[in-house]
Amino acid sequence: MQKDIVLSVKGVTKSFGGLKALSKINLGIGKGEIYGLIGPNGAGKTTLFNILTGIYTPNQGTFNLDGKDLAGLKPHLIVKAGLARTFQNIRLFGNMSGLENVMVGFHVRTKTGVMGAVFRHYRAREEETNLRNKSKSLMDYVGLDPELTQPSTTLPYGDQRRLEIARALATNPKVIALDEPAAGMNPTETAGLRDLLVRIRRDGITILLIEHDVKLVMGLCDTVAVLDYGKKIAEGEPKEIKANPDVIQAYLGGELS
Amino acid sequence: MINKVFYLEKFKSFQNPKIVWLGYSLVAITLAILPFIIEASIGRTWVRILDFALIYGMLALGLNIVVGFAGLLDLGYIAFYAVGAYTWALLASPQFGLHLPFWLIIPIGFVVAGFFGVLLGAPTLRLRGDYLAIVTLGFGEIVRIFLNNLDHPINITNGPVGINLIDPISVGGYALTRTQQIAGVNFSGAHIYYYLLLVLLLACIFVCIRLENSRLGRAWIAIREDETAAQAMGINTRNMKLLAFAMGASFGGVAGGVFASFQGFVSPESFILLESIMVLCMVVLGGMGNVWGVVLGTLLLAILPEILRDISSPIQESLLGGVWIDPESLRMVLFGLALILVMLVRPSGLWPSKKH
Ligand SMILES: Nc1ncnc2c1ncn2[C@@H]1O[C@H](COP(=O)(O)OP(=O)(O)O)[C@@H](O)[C@H]1O
Ligand SMILES: [Mg+2]
Repeated sequence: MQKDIVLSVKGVTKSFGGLKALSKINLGIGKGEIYGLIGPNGAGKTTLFNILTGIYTPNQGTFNLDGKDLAGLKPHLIVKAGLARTFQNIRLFGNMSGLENVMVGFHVRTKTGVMGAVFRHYRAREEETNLRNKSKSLMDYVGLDPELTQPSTTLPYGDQRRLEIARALATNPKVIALDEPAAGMNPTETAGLRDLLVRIRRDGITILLIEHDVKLVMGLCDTVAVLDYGKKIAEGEPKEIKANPDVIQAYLGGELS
Repeated sequence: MINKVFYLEKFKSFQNPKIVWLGYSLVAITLAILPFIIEASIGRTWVRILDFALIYGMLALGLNIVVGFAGLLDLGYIAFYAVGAYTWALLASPQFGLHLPFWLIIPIGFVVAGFFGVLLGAPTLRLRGDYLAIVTLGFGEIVRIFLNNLDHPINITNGPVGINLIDPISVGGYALTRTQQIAGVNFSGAHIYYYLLLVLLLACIFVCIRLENSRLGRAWIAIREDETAAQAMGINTRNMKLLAFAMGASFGGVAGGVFASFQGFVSPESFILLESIMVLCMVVLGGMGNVWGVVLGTLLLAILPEILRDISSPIQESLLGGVWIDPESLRMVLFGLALILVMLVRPSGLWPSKKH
């Protein structure tokens, strides 16, 4: 079956000094799917995210979102184009409350400038009320209490992960890239996260998911790609991946079965 | 939930509009008669000291946008104060024979200083932390050295001598630095400038609070908290940093202009590194990021050294039976000790931002 590709990565290569972190990576992420990216530690998954979100520039290769070439653009323009992310090591705005973190996510979709901020004319007030309400519903959506005022870094770990997802969703992305969102979660939290990801997909947002929890990935993803030492060694439906001898050999064979 | 109800009960009086208005009126009346009380009780020089405290307040609020909100450590901030002061001095003094009215020079000073903010901010965009501090420190010194040397080949600034006979702000032909009789009450220049500066400071406070609680303020604070995450959330960090530099510099520019017109004289000596550090201390001591904390820090640091000046001789005489230590040095020693003490006891400032 031919997929409708929303994010396509072509020949992306990245070296750090002598180390080739990624070599000639090609990926095609279909519209509306959950696309899993797995591989042992150091395989280059996070590096690929950093390239896709403009933090690193690739040595070679391009990638485009809905046909728009994004390689080499500044991070904020990539977010504007519709690709948002979370971080493997949580990076919230620590001293802000949860709600304020989400409100920052709306920055790219709002316009208020100095005049609007200082004089709070009608349009600025309307925009602010609007984004505050939307931020509150996003907090609800991921299962957090919007009224919490404590600094976000003092929230429980699982909540911080979900807050990062809410903040990324606030940028109104076409594709959301999640870097190990289940890391450090207990089984109940992981089950909740799973439900959340299913809901996000149902609401029409494509998910690119790096995850170590193989069971979660195999149960949830429509397509899975496997990286090993910076190379893509397999791509396909979860059951194909599970049966792929290269994957079993290169990567934790035991865990896949 | 129980906590919340309790909280509301406890502060119900703050929500009663009558009590709120009564509070505001009391504050307003106090501020209005303050210079008279001060003059009657401790003398007119203290009204001038209060005026300078208000000027420092504007500077500290401007620097707070850069350091407190956006988290960009700027050690050369006084340069914008200098730019504002010299802009006024050149446009309203015999130096070039220009005598523009204040309502024209204030916006010009605002824009010129803001422009310098962008000019000095742009090369530092990639720098973080210590490196940024070193470069801004250098910029501050460069501006001062320029002012010191721009008396040749063409004389622009009069060099180290400075510019004298600067026009005061005047309204309808009345110079505000002269004593005026209004409704039978004598208002000295220091009194009149007090009201002017108070209005300007309140306007600065208003602008800062509005900015902080807006899309822009949130973006600045996001950059302060985690620059990479801020970028990854779609914030154009370059533009937001330049905006912070420009806004902060504009406040400094207006403060500098009013300072020049009040003092009637400017020279490069007023814009040394120590002044940058002093303003930074006001921001840090009061509570970086919190507008009211910054105002409190400014009042304390602008007034405390003057109090120490007055009491360091009498205290020595009564304790040691004579003046043994130069009062000027002793004053700075005590001042330094006070700063260290406050920072040890309250490391995030006297009145920290709740977001810190
Ligand atoms: N900024 C960097 N500088 C040097 N090496 C890096 C950098 N970022 C990642 N690497 C290296 O690239 C390789 C891939 O890392 P990473 O993408 O984090 O792996 P993964 O997320 O798959 O665990 C690792 O060997 C890592 O040490
Ligand atoms: Mg990783």
